[in-house]
Parts: sequence; structure tokens; C-alpha cells
Amino acid sequence: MNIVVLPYLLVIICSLTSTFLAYLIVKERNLVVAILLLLGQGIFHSLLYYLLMAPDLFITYIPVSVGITPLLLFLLIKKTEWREYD
Amino acid sequence: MSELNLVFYGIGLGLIAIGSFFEVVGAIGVLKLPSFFLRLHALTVSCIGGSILPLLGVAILAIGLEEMGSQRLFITAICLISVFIILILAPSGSHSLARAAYNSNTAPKQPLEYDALSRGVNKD
Amino acid sequence: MIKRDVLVAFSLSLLVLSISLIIWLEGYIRIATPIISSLGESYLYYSYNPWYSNYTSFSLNVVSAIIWDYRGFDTFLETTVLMASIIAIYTLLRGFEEKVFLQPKGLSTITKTATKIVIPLIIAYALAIATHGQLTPGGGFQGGATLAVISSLIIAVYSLEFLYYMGYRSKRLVVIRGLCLIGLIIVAITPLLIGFILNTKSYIFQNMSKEDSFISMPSFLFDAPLAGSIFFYNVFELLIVFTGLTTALMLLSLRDVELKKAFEVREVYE
Repeated sequence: MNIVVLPYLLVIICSLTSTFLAYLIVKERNLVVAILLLLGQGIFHSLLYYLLMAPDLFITYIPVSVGITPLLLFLLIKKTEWREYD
Repeated sequence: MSELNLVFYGIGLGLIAIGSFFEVVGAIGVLKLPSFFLRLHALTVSCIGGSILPLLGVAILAIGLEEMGSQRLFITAICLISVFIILILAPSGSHSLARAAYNSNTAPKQPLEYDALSRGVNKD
Repeated sequence: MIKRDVLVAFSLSLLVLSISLIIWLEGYIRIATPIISSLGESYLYYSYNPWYSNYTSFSLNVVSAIIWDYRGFDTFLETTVLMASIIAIYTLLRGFEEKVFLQPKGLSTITKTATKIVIPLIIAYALAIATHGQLTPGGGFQGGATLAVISSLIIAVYSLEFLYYMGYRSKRLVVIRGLCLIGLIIVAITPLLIGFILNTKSYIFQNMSKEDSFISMPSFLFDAPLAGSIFFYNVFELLIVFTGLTTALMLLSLRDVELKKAFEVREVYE
């Protein structure tokens, strides 16, 4: 495989996977699972930022999406409810 | 490519191959094993064997690539530091997961041989 | 998670792929143009250029130069917006009190030791990002967000009580944040004051000397480019973002005992 094509292929895979995960996050009833899926989407987004040559956004997105947002959302769930009812 | 570099190259590729074997074993274990704790064990196998061994392999492989100049030493150092961090964090993470699942009784412990924690040993 | 959901999500991502393929094949948008616009070219040309000392900012990182030099006032207002969000949380939880029980529980000893080993590495990385903002990608916001991971780790592993034990209080953090905001303003108006004393022309948020005013911030520390005020702005921004995010985390992880009075106050208002 030509090595120049590889970053573009990774960009396509990452963006499609993040779209896939976004739909699942919206549909998920169990909020803990939804947060875990959101964490996975954050990892794909940060990889996208790195591949599209934005290293400063990459450096911001890693701690915010992996370190801070999950803890904030888990605290929010702990205070309210962990399940979404109809 | 000199003979020493060829040896480095071979060792690195071998370590990456062993790491991919561990990754496959971990994936099969996560799908097939019956209880939560056993699946956690499979996850740790794939995390330690599947990420530390390939990183070490890349570190050794990068030493052998002499045409890259001094850049290869940066790659080696980055790989070794990540090995150190993963070696500390991955086992402690799975330890805290297992401990939380045990203490809150949410996961069934059924395929059980011996339970030292239930007899009051190390009740911290 | 039902099988139908997974199928719908998969088809959705295929739809995105087909739309992007159509856009690419029809040539509506050229993806990743090799041509840079003339404005971007001028930023790239002047951001570190000692031969044009009236236009340059001595910053090797172009993003940092644009954020803190060419559009410094904008970024300053963004920082004050972050402050406003913290004040909103305060008004929501009006009347809470922080009680110190001095019995930090937390997770087991193994996890605590692993966290203890990792925390100095995170601190070193965050400080490196923030203070090298003019040399490498990164800057104040990035460093502050990385440093705030420490407080989130401490809350998750050591419990909130340990943060109190270390001397963190949300009111103190807000005071530090306000002081850093004042520090930003002081750095911004320093050239103005010097110009007022020396009776020459000068501007707010001035970094290097311009055509009609010779006042400039220090551009080099020994032989490393300091980029004048960009370095100071980055350090203050690091502290502002760290204290802001830590305050939000602490306020959201308050216990029920501490929030009891806040709920009573809310009932009175309702």
C-alpha cells in the first residue's frame, strides 16, 4: 500500500466510527454506557485532530475528553438518575 | 544493513508478532469467558501483552534503523516511557475495577475456587 | 443497545461516506487546498521574522502569536466568559458550605500509589505545554486543561476530602482566578503606562515595537525566544483555566450534607 494514502484512510475510518458512535450515544437508554461510548468517540475525535494536523486542538481534546468530561458526567449521574425512562 | 542491526530488526518484529498473538487471545477470552472477573483477566492479558510487548518491539526496531539518524532515539525513548506508564496504570486500573465489583456485589462470582477476601484476610 | 440500532448507525455512517464521496467526485469543495490565502501567508511570514521588527511577535508557534498578539483582546474576552460560567454555578448552588470531616477514604492503596507516581509526570507535562507555548504547539488553555486532570484524578481516587486537606477551597480558587485575570490586565496595560510616563505613543495589548512607538516587551530570555507578553499571558491563562475547571469539579462533587443549606435557600426563594 502506498504510504501517502494511509493517513487519509485513517481519517475516513475515524470519522465514520465517530458518526456510528454518535447515533448509538443518542439512542442509548443506560446513561453509564452512553458515557463510555462518548469516551470512545472522544478518542476517535482526538485522533482525527492529530491526522488533520491540528496538534494544539489534539493536546486540548485529550485531557478534556478523557480526563474531565467523564468525571463531570459521572458526578451528574450520581446526583440524578442513571437510566432514561420513556 | 549491518548484522547487529539485522538482529535488532528480527527481535523487534518477533516481539510485535508475540504481542499480536496476546491481543487475539485477549479478544477471544473477552468473548468466551463466563464471569466478569475472568473477562477482566482476559482484558488485562490483552492490555499488558498486547500493548507493552509491541511497544518494546518498536523501541528495539527503531534502534536498528540506522538511516533514520538521531530521530530513532526519540522514538525509542517515547516507547520506553509509555511502557513504564502503561505498566503502572493498567494493572492498578483493573485492580480497582475488580475491587469495586467485588465490594458492591454487582457481578456474579460463580466459577469460584477459593475466596480469600471473604474470610477477613486483608480487609482494608 | 439493540441490533436494529447498530444497523441504523452503520447505515448512517455509510450515508455520510456516500455524501462525502459525491462532494469529492463532483468537485464542489476542494479538500485540503495546497494554496494558502494571502492573510494566512502574511501570518506565517511575519510571526517569527527578526528583519521586520515592526510586524513580528518573535513567536515560533503561529497559533500562539495569532491568539495572544494579533487578536489579544478577543482571547481576553473569551477568558472572562469562562469566569462568567463559574459565577453561574455559584448562583445555582447558593448557600452551600464546605465541611471538613478529615477522614479521607478513597480507593485502595495500590491505586493511590499508582496515582502518586503519575501525578508529577502530568504536572511536568502541563507546565512544559504552557511555558513553551511560544515554541511548540500548545499554550495556556492546553496546559490548564492538562493540569485540571490532576484534580479530577484526586477527586476520583483520593476523594474530595483530600482536596480540602491539601488546602483547596472553592472560594480561594475563585480569588486566585480573579487575581490572575487582574494580572492579565496589568500585563496588557503595562506598555500604556510606560508610554504615559515616557510621553510617547503606545497601545493596549502591545507586544513588540510598532512604527510609531518604540516600546516593546522582552523578546528573548538569554537565547530562547520569549515572545514578549505571550509568555506571561500563557502563564496566567494556565492558572485561570486550572482554577476554573477545578472549581467546577469541586462544586459538582459536593456531598449531600454540604448542599443541605443550599436546598433550603432554594425552597425559600420558590
